[in-house]
Amino acid sequence: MGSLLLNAIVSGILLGMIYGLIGAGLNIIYGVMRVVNFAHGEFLMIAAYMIYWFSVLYKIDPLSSLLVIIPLFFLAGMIIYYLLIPRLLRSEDPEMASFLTFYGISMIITALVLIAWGADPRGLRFPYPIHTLRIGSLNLSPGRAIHFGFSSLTALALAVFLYRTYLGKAIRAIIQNREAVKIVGIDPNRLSSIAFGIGLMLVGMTGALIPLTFPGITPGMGASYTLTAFVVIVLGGLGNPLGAIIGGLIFGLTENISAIFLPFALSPVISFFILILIIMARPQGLLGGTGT
Amino acid sequence: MSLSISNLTKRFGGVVAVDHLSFRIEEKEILGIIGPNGSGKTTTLNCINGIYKADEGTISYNENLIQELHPHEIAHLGIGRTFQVPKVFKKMTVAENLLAPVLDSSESDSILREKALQLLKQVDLEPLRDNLGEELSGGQQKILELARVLMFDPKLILLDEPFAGVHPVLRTKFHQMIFSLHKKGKTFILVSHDLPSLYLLSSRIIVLNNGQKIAEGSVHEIKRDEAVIEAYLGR
Repeated sequence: MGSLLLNAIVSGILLGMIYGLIGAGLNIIYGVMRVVNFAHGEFLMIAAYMIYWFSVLYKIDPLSSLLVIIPLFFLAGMIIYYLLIPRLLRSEDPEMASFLTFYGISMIITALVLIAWGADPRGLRFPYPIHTLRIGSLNLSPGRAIHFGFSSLTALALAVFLYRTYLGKAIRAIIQNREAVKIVGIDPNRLSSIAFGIGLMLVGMTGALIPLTFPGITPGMGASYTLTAFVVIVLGGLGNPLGAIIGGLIFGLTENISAIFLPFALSPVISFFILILIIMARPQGLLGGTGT
Repeated sequence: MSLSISNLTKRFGGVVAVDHLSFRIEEKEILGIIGPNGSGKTTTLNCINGIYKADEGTISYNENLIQELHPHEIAHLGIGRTFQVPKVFKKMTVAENLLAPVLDSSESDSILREKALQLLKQVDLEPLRDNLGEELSGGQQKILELARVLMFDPKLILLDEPFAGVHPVLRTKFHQMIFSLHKKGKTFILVSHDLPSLYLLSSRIIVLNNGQKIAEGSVHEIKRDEAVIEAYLGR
């Protein structure tokens, strides 16, 4: 049981970090613009497919592919911002308008991928050593270890960016008070476009490495990640990017540890039960309350 | 530095919040604006710094029209602004509040940090530099908001009800800060219900009622103006 629990905890932290990063991207976008990007998981799915095709067509491994994925998703985020968001923000209810728009976009992306590549799951030919790492009674697949290492470094880099750079401070400031940022000379449009780029870059990075942890790539995989991302940002606090990491860790740990003691099908029930409990105790989420 | 407002009109539906208002302010003046609630004082400030777009009239700063500019562009021209309810970044430290808006500054990191430190010392908030914005009292938040405005060295500063709900000791400190900044060449437009403070600080006063200017003059003149007494003091 001890070994099982240890493996569940490590696996939970690993998954939690992945969920957290997906949520952090979503939370930056929501926090800065109050835009509900319901296609977040579909962007992750696109990144996973891109990695697959990079691997099949050009024999490029996922980590090397990030050199393309990171700037590409950042740029895509900025373009999507300028094409859509200012118009959505002018609507009477930007949150509902953005939710419906991005829900539509998620369906379009899924349908296009389905038409282009079919519904059969695609599996990445694993490009790294495949021996399971054994540390005492802990077993860790190299794919998961790589993904965890990269996710941890990304979370650390995100924290340094948000707290140590002027651009990061400005993003935290606009999350807390959009009006105040305008009157101290910051262009909210430019900052929002950068924030959208960062949000998409984070989900692109995570999606690119998803096949290392969850091998099956399908057109319908995005929806469950979108749902998970929403859960972790509500857990961690809406509008707090680092709160999403905490929310992701709680969600991942709960999901994995509960699977030891209960039937596997019940583990999502426990995760959502924890969500309800936390929301009842702290409606603003664990690190919520941005001061707006 | 000069700011000229001509026939400024702002409507909200059928309500005319500012009605053909005209005035001018020159460099190193402290212009007070008084008037009953709903007389258009804050709306006037919101039009000057671009939060609201004027329906009619012109606003020119240094002889350039600015009424179509966005608030961040107006801030870059050198017009700073504080609010009746201070808009500090509550989940950021006091020091971060000053450093968050310097994104487009061409000055080096060390210079910006030193500038922020000196400003915090100047307004006596340096000992609280690592406290979160939300941990400050209402009056301290107002002072922090002014210090944040000073980070980008504006020539004209619009203060909206800076003394409302502020402890008398802090209020006196606020007066000293305004006098000190005025001596250093800053120009102020001061909106306040606190008449003693306004009389103390202002070189000229404008009185608004129902969005219209009903009087303009020195403190002495305004105190004796019958229309002002009737509209503002209700007798």
